[in-house]
Amino acid sequence: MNGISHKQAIQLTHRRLDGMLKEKQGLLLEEHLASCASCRPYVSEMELLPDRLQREFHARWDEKEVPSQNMMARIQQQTRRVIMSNRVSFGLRAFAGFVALVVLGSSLNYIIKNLQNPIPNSATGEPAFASHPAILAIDSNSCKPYSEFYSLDSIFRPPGQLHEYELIQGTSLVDGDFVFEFWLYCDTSLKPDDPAHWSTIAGLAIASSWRYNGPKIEGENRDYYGFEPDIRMSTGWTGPLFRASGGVGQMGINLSEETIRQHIQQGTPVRFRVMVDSPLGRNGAIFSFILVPAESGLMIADLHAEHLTP
Amino acid sequence: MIEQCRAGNTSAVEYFVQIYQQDVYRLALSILDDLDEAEDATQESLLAALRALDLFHGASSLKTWLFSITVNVCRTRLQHQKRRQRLEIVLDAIFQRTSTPTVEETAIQHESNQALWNAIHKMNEKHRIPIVLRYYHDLSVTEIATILQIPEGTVHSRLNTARKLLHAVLKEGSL
Repeated sequence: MNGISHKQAIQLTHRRLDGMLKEKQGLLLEEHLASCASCRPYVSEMELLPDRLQREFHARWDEKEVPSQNMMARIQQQTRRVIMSNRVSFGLRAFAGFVALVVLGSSLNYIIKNLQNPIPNSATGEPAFASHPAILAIDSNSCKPYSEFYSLDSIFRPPGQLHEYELIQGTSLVDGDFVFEFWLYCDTSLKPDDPAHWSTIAGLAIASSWRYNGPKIEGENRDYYGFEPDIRMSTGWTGPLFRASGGVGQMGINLSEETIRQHIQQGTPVRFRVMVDSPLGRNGAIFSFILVPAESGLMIADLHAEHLTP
Repeated sequence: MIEQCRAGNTSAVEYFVQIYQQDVYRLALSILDDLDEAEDATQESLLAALRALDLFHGASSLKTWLFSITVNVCRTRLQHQKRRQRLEIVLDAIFQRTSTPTVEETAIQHESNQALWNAIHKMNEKHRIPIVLRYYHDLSVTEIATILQIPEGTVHSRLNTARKLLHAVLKEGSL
């Protein structure tokens, strides 16, 4: 006998029956069987078993292997329901796929468009990215040398205290014996995060003044300045108002960032009020302007003055 | 054809049923050994397959996948059969009933080796199903492993056990 045991020979026989025997194992088995009288009968019987089983199985089942016509009819009847179910399911999946494609396509289109051309703001026609500017700052292109304004052939000249600054725009309003003026100017030292030189819109400030041109009047006087709705008294005094009496206020844009952003997004005007209470009553003006977002910062538009309403 | 069936194409579904119904029926009959049960199982298996076509990803052949479904359907039915048989044994004991084989069954029994057949029937299904798949359906160990979702080594081991048992029965009855 060769190197494999009887037990191994039996195992290899079963592997051969299952088509799992390697060539070398087959040689070892044959070699063993050639010299082992006790294994040969078992292996012979075992190798006959598949034939025996196949014969038995086929004899038992082959003549019955065609299903009845009833079954065919039942399956066909049932498959109609499955077909309907599959159609509905397929239709839903196709529809869901279509919707998903449309959404995906739209999203991609939106993203690409945004990357290429920012969406225009419906109110101003300016690019959308500027309607939500990351930093609130005046457009430096709006700032012009003081001399340009001073040389204007106009009786409306910038006040002397703004001489060292670049200016944007100014306007005035006459209310009885009072003249009210309002100027927007550029001051690069003003920043939203600098308490000493504070303006919510970096680089932007206002100067506002009043002047009395009427006859001398005795009595109590008060003047007020401020962005609506926060108008505060600046000075109060007892004494006569006489020709050339007046006052000037200068400040950064002391509104909250949220309020400024609302004005920008909604296109509503920022309103600044100057008022004088005197024995003549209340005189004053409301100056307003629109903040227009642009790529290089905020621009001023539509500056105008109006009378106080009673 | 599979895509057409998924989409609910009537012709494709009928073609699918025609192509596979006989194989499925043969398999069901060989496991259940009961004509009515086999027909019901065939219907159940084909319909289950049609509903579950989305789950077929082509990892095996469509026939192997279908056989896998059929085996599972048949196993469930075998469990129900066993429960029914236990109930019948109890009822037989109570009412002293005896069953008489039909003429057809008698004829088959005469033609085949009753001892071998009884041995196959007495086997538990984990040994009987691999034997049936191997020797009636001529499937390889790899295919059986896929259908039963067990390792090839386990299939081989179960076939070994079944063959040894059947050999012992035949030896007893002297071949």
